[in-house]
Amino acid sequence: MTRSNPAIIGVGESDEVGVVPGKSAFDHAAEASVAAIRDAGLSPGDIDGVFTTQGVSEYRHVSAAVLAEYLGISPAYTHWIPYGGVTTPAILPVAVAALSAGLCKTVLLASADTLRSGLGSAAAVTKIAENAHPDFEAPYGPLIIAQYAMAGQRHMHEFGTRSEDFAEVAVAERYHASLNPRAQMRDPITVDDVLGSRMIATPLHLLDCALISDGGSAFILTTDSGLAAASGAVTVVAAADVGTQMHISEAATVTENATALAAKKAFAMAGLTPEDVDVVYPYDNFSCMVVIGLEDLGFCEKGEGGEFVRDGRIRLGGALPVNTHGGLLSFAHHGRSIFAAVEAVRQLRGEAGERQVANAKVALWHGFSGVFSSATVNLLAL
Amino acid sequence: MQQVASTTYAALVEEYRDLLRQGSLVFQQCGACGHKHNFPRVFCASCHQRQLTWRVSSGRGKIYTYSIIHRAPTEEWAARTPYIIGLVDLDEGVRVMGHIESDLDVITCDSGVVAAIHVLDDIPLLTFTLS
Repeated sequence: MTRSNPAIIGVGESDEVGVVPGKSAFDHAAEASVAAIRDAGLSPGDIDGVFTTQGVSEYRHVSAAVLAEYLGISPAYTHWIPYGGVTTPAILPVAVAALSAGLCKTVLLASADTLRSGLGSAAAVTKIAENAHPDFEAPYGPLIIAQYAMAGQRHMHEFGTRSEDFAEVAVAERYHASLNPRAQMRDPITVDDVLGSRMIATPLHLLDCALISDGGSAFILTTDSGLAAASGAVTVVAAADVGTQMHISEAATVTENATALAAKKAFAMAGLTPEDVDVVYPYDNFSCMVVIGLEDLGFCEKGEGGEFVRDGRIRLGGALPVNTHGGLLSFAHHGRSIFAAVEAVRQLRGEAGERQVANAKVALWHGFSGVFSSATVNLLAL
Repeated sequence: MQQVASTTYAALVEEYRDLLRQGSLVFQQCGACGHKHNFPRVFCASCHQRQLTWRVSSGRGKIYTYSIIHRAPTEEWAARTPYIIGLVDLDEGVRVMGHIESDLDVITCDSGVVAAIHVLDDIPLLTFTLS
């Protein structure tokens, strides 16, 4: 029996996350996959689809077919997604489509990279800078941080948003990471700490920027009714992806992006509204993008994001906890990670321990790629 | 008004750069539908006709947004910090990326700017100063 909305029945992370010298992206992918498969209570023969992302530090090794073979998964529908940029939520709409089309029934989604120990911070930042248009932007040296910083800069100009507001995001996520034994950065920070950290590209300081890490993450998605009936299954009620442009020079505006369109699509798919969401995982490569993201996702009006993140609203205990695991800013960022989804599933299952949000029933998992070129909004529910 | 001659993308980039090297800050307008797109193209981004023309901008515009880069990961760019990257809306209604030369404490979004063209390693680059 097949159900129409797929369910996530297993989640996993690599044994270690953060600064992990001596392990390859392939190691992290395999460890996370095995953890997710075990969490689902499955063996290799139960899986007939494998989706992976294209990492930057190892090109071929983490391809879906290679990983499937290593894990003893055969036969399988495989799909290796070479999305440039840094988002894995975008794999979910593709996987949901493959399941709906009956190409497979039980899918492993895995992603891993060694941005920190394999590629190195400077090389990672340089590699990601290849997002700029090679002829009309790259010659100006527009670091990826600077491109996103320009969004924050314009938002401050149009709406009076302050650096302190961006910093609130970093402070809240670091507080969440302090409750997470696996997080890369756990020492609590204050708004002053963020503003006092090195300025990278105005208005973004070092602590406004995502970490550069090693690790892997995975989950198992199925439309098999029997498997999905197991306790702990979380349903994917919406997976919506929208692209608007590739490069920042061609963006109509930088203070709003494809997230707004993807959110409308996702909420319509699920028959839900922002008021229904209990925990939210907005893409947080940079703190200013969470302020913009919360607006675009529909949690507040355009321009009100700065006020929205004040007064503890986005901290555990507040009205709308954001990135309860610590996010890219404090948990880890290996590029294209699924850590946010893993945490979202644990929240909905009631397995988040000290970070548990009471009665969490609906989670929103968001990402964008390129220079906010396309965005994905996924909704998970019990 | 000069017709856009190139039929391949690579040739188009050189055609554009040659005009900049000659001191003309050009942008494209479609001779069929009047549309102006930002990045130079071989086809109109709106009607897909190949009747694009090069128009010359006055070089005047307003800063849409900017960022002052203080830290850069490569030696080449680290040597130039702090430098300012910006998106400028030219008066003619086209947006371009460029460098901005300004005292760091007076630059704001919506500031009026004027362009100059400098050639670096044979690539013509736009530098805007506050007007």
